[in-house]
Amino acid sequence: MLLQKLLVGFQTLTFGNVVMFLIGAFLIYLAIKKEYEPMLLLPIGFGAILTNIPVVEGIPGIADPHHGVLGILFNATILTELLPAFIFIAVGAMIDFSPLLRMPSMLFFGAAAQFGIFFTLLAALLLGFPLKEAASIGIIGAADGPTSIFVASRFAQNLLGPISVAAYSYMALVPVIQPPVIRALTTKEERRIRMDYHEVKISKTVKILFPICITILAGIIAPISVTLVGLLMFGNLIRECGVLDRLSQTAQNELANLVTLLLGITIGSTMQAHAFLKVETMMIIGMGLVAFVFDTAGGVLFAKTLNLFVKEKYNPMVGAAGISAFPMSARVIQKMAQKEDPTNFILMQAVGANVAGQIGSIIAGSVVLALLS
Amino acid sequence: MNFELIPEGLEIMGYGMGTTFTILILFYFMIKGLLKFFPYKED
Repeated sequence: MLLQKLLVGFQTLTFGNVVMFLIGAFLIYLAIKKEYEPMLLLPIGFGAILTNIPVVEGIPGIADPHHGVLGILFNATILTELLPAFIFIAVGAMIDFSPLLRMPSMLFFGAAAQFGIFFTLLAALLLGFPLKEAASIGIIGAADGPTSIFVASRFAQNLLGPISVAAYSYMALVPVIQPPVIRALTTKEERRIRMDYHEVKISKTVKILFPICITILAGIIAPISVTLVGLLMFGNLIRECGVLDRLSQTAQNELANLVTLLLGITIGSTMQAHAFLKVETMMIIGMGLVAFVFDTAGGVLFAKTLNLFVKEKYNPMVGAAGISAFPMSARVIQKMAQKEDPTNFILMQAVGANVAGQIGSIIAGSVVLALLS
Repeated sequence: MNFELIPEGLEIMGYGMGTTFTILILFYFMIKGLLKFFPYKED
């Protein structure tokens, strides 16, 4: 009888639980061995293992919405959008917008490279997902984990696990995904285009006014963007004002670390076998790739189109850096440019486009929220 | 394959890309204005 009580966990263990242990372990492997977004993939992986430990009658599971630690955390911080919102303060405090302020035209690439979001939304609709779920899947193309989580937590809480895993995994895979797409859409000559870089000094007033004006402008045009843009810009204002170094450091380190720690494991706790082991999960993972491919294509093709009308040509590869995966994408572009011509240096332009992509992805996420709310 | 929602999806795509571009173009002019009115000055 006592032995039976001790072995009750084994009796309630399902095949699905075991598969989820393996998936959790695989995410932890990717985080540790391959260093793919370890800050998120490791807690998500471990959360997936925790939530699939069999629940014994009378003892609440860790993901129980009323009595389990992770369930309570999910209700209090994800459903209320608190944690995804807090992370924007941290991200804002980490971003230096100077490269974008020096080359504001990079903003156009930040817009064009959001094409993957809307293309993937269409693809998800075609595959039979309801509109709001399709939009949440499309937002994987924001190449911005917090935005994906924020939109999914509002529109498709049931898909939060696979969407987060896809978003963070593909962000880590940008060096693998982008080069073949760029090579397929550009000629060797285009990849060798040089771009002038003027080291313009930016006044402190501009750096301070930038986050304030962006917040007001975005807030007036798309009021729903206030949470995302407003908190991002609040973090940036703390960074740039010059009198709140302690708060800026706290936002960049303690806040970012604490939020990331709780966010990952809480999202992992949504990956229960019955909810995760579905054909839809595989579809979402596949569509995440589609989103990143079409983001890249959107940026490159827009740059090529612009080149038809401008005197000083853009290297089309810079358009691909308009996705939000910062700073990975900019580094990939610079590496590709130097491979074609070792003396070509377009890193600063690519960083500008990459920072623009961060704003673009948040704006696109807000627009999707506004259109479907 | 479900084609029923495609017209709505295309509409969201049009509005979505259009609005994103419009907002970022406004940001472009805002930055240009800020740089013009508050240029960097050596101390």
